[in-house]
Amino acid sequence: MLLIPCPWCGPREDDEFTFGGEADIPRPADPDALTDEQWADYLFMRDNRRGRHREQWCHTAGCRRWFIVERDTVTNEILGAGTYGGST
Amino acid sequence: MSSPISRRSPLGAIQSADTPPPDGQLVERPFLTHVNLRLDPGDTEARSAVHRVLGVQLPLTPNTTTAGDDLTAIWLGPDEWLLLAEPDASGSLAGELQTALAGHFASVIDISAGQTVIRLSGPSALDVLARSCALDLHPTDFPPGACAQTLLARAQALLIAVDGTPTFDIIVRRSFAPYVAAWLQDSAHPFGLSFPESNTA
Repeated sequence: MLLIPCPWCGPREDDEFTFGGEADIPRPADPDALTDEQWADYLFMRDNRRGRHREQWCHTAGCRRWFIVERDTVTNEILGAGTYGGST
Repeated sequence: MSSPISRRSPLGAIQSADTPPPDGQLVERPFLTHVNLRLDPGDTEARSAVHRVLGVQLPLTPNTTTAGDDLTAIWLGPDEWLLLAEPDASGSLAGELQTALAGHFASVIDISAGQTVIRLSGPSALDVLARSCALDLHPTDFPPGACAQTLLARAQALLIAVDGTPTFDIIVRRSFAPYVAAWLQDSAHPFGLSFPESNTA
């Protein structure tokens, strides 16, 4: 079980959360200007890093807010959490 | 003259005794007014307009409530609150809020029919809840006035610490209410607590 620190509600068990994949992938400002390959890269391609990983979580059963967690994908250690635009 | 159509609370079939047993209480609080309010907490004008209507400030600290005479404002998110008031106040409460918030980016929704409140109190309340909830609800961590949205036996629930008895109000969706009530009934049985027998059957 992961104990995930929601920036609003505090530490809660992972049953209450939904995983949202890798963070910091901005939607392209002008999708029409992209090639199919660039668009597919935005939609589907992720890094699957070993080690420190910034990822999105939603506190589905709590305050229902999305936020960012930094987690070590090897040890599952949570290294920090923060809101969008804030620091993790 | 009574209406041929009578309303039924989600747990109407298993509540309604008037005298709770002395060692605790497990009852539904039916037909309370539930209003969901969303607004930008940075909009101080909107918040003071709400304050004028409610008589209490919206809590800005996560997982806390503010209680007035006949209304409690409950934190649900950084821009979302639940207002819990006496029965049959939803029309006037929602209407007054909508009027007060005209021109502001806000939403007021009457959700009274969508959820219900189960009250659990007594010395064994913590033990009963510990059988279905992972949160530490001891008063040192969860004092009266605190609230938390979490999972209760895998159903979404909003827990409110009402007083130090301890007393908890458990707010669940209407469709989950019979399930959660059955779970609580089962959890509370070893402690001699039970929903009162229905006197409406």
